[in-house]
Amino acid sequence: MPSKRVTIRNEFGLHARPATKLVECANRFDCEVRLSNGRRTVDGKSIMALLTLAAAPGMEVLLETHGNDEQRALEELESLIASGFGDPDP
Amino acid sequence: MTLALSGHPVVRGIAVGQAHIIRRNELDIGEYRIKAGQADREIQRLMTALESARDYLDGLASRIRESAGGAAEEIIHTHIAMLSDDSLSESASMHIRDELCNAEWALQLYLEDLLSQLNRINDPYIRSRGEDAIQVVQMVQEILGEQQPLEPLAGVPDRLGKTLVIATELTPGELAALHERGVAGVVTEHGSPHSHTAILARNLGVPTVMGAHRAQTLVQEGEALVLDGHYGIVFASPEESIHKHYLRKQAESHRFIQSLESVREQPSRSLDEVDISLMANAERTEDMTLAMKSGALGIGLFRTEFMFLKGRPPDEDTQYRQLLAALDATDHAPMVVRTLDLGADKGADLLDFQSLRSNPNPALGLRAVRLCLRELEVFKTQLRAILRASAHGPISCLIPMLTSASEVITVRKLLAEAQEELQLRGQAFNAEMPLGGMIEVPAAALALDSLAQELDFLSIGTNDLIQYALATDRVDEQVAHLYDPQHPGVVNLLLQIFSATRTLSKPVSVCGELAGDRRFTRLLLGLGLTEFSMSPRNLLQVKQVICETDVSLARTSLQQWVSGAALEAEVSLVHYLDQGQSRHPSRAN
Repeated sequence: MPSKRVTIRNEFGLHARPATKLVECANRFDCEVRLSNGRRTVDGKSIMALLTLAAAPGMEVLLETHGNDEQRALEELESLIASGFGDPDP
Repeated sequence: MTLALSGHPVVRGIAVGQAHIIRRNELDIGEYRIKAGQADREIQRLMTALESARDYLDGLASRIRESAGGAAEEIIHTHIAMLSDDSLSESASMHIRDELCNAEWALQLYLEDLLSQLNRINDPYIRSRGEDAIQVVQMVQEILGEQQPLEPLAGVPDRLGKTLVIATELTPGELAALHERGVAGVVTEHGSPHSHTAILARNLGVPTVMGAHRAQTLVQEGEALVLDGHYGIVFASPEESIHKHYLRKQAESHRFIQSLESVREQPSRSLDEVDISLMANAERTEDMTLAMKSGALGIGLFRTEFMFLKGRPPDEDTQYRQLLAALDATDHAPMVVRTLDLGADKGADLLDFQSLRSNPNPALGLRAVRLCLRELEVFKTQLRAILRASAHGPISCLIPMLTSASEVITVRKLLAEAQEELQLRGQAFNAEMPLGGMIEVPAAALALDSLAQELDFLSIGTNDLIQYALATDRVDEQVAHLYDPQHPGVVNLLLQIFSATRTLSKPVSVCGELAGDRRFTRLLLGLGLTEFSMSPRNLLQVKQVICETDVSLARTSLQQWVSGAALEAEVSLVHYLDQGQSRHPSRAN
């Protein structure tokens, strides 16, 4: 199962807008998407779950994908998070 | 008799019209049992309601994109993502099946569980998203209760021109729908200025007051209302004088906005044909777009603090990429990048530097370049990132809060080292990248000949300069009245800076708030300023004053004032400068 460590770069962390973008992106893939902050692992396709992860700025999360298109999903999600969700100015 | 209600000022602006009260039946979520055989049908009922809520929001999102732009649409998208969340449908279905309860109640159980999880989170921003979850769930519960497709705002007229809506609370979706119907203003009993509804109201520009307690009880349907979004006040049945006052203010602000539009296409040139460069202080893409649309020549102050997030400073590549993105956003217009300007007094929580641990007097302590010269690795990483970006566009580098010439020498040395390192790596940079210094420390301002020798340009940070010159923190309410940019000592200090920069022939700009405050534009022009950098929101206002000013007259008035020749004038300096303009024989019309 491919996985990658990524750092949350947004000013307020994984709040509503970036979480929405992440969920929208994850739902374009068939594979399972999971995010973990070391203590909890949540479903990356669920906005409610992502909000409860409370990923703060600077926090590192483990991104895992599992299923058909896992590799492509991992790459796209990683670059989405690394880009600060398409916003150069979080 | 006038009744005045007060609440949180959320969106500035004035609205005058009649009250329309949106009464909502208190949503009564009953719990009742269903038979085991009915669980599937109950789940189906839930799914249909979710679907119809989603359809409604989808339609709203695409309509709102045109009227209010992307940020507003994104708020609705968050609600759609919440509705589409499998955890919602799955856990509510599970409650229906396991506890044989109705769909409304199953949603309630889900919501309570979610809220208790969110409330454990120690982040007020995330926690307040519970509000969004409540709104989404209630929307579905309402649909279930009515057993019909969603008709939010049932009973609200289709056209709401000159109507102010009074509600207990509004969801972002409801606000968007009211905006579509042309609502003049909005008053709510509850809701915080940080809610998504408030953010949306600002985006849409709907004058709004939130938290006006008991507004629904105190105001009658159809009653005449005046809303002042600047102060967060609502007047019901206002006296004639209040009513007229606000109608006049409304007309004035309308005219003001139109007159600003008329200068948009004009060059930024004074009546006596002095060209003035207008730059913007911006780091957000939307501010940059606004700046370019308002005629800014470039970014006069690009703050880098946002890159330094909690935990640890960003690496070189990340900073480099963010700078390139900023260049792209302005089509490679000139950009002045300021190095890290943080310290114990501002944004210390963003940093975790050992050196920031103890600060008996933060405003006078380790901050800005002082901190950078302590955290050398962080500083050099940033210098390398800026240098690399300078290979791609007209970037210059600005050092905040310089105090002594020795700091400038150290920065130059570090910059040379950073260049060598990049050379060794074979990475491109502009070896001629201009290096500027911010003049914020009064003693530095009075010793520019030594400090400015090694600098290519100067930028005056008026906020700190004035605070230090007057020993007054304007955020401290008890002494804020002493903060006065027109204080003779401050004016003298500014005169000295401009006279020194003329002697040294160093370009100088002002990037503090003074530059964006139209009341002080003539003072700065009189001092000899030709480059302003300000929030893009103020650009047109300042440009308008520039186009209506004769710079040589402003200079004469300022000299008269300083020499004491204006002592009998009995007006403030800025008024004296304004009056000085009207004496001009060739003044346009």
